[in-house]
Amino acid sequence: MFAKGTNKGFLGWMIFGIAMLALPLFASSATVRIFVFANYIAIFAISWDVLSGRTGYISFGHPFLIGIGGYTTALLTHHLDMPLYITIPAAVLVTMIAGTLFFLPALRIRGTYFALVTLAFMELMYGLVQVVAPDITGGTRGLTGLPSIVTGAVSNYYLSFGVMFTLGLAMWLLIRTRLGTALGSIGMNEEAVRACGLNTTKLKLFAFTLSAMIAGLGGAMYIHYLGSIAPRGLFDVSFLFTILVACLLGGAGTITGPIMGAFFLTLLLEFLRPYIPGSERYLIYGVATLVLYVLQPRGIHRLIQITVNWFVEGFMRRKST
Amino acid sequence: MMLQIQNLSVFYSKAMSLNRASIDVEAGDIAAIIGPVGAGKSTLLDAVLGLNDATGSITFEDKNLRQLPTSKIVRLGIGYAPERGNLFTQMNVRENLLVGAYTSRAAIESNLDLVFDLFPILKKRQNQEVGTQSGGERQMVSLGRALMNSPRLLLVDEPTIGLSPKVCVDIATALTRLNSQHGLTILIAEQNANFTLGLAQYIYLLEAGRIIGSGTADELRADKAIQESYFGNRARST
Repeated sequence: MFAKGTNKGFLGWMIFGIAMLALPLFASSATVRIFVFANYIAIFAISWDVLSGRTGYISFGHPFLIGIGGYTTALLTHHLDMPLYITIPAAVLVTMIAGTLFFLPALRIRGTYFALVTLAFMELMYGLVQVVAPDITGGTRGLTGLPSIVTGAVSNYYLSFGVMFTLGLAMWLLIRTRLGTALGSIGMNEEAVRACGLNTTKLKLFAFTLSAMIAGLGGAMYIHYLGSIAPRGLFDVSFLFTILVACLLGGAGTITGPIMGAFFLTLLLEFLRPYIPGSERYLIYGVATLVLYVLQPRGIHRLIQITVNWFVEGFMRRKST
Repeated sequence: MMLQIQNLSVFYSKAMSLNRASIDVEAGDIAAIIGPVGAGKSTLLDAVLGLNDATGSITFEDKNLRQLPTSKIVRLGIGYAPERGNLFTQMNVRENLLVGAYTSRAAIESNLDLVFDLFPILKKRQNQEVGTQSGGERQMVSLGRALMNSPRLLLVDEPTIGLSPKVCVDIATALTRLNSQHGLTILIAEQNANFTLGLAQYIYLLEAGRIIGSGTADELRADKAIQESYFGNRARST
């Protein structure tokens, strides 16, 4: 059912899982909180990768989907005092429906035009939550005092990691099935996929809905972790770029790559903070990103693959001589 | 008649790419359409698969293809090996073949065996990324992918373009075997007239979107005008 190499990759997932589970045992509370943020960026990066990394439909409007999920649960808990076990699934459902809005332009356009249309979705959402019924959405200030799912750094860490790990592993397994291969082939040559007899419209709809589901879940959980929601933070271009760069730097279309990218970027920025507290550290972030990208355009994922192969081949050669 | 195309016209914007073209393909035959670059050969094959907007009639085993989406046309038993540029270059050989198998899941193993029997080199290199393969190997992958949906009619677009004579012979051998041993009906669109004459039982000549002639290989060889246009006899005599 799964592609070759799945067992080896599964071992990697297990090692990653055990290491991450053990992290709070020896990391400070502040470090754990950085990892919580990294987990959420990784969830958003997985969501982007399922859609754009696999099908090649580059989305510049992912914060729109994350925002739909976030605002849905925020409004339901803030105004209607509904419990989180209802508001979060509702947020996921609403985001999946919104994902089909994203899908409509994909029936007609792709490439740069599709990317720009999705960017327009994000800007539209940014404008709407500020202008339309600001007494309900909180306008530019947003909404504060939202309930938490769990309290404390460690509990939030395990929650965010559990969700990220489960989604990541599930999506990684998915892309290793024939369905995942078909989704990936759309990104390479959609016309050829049609000529093979696949219904590309259904495949794309599946990818868009799945991506929206992950974005909605991540968005809803993220705002309950923060305890607040504000349009400026959510629909900011730098938030979008963090997700995009995490995917491209990590290795788009691989699921594990965007997770690596999300951790690399978040940790780089946060660990630079004590030494370069101002926005200058974004310069280092940019340079590091550029160097890595020039070094290996297929991302950290590929870089690690090449390094591991080099070590394994060297070991085998030595063993045989 | 397995495939019947009547008065097929295709426009790209205002440009007419195919002008009331009609061709028939008998079951069990190898038929070919030959013509220069831009004649409309690929457009015609694309139209059979429903990949472009066309007018006219296309029937496959008495079923009207014009009312069906591509996914259903392929399920009827039509395989398409497009020019080798239309492969998934970042995937390996096996993954490319499996994308082709989407409509024929029950026969994956037997179809893989068939492809690897026709092109043993693909079996050896099934984990190699297609983007790193030679033109000939890519052409084999393209043909192999089309065979993965267990077709009864195989459409092949420009199978020899840019390939060495040795690889052209290998491709011709594979197509002949598919036709004679597996009973596959084949329609080839090709510029290489010599390759086609040695392979096809019936040939259509396509120029500027129009069918300008047709006949068996022997009939076409005997036609002086066609010889001059397609086989370079005038050039040889001067």
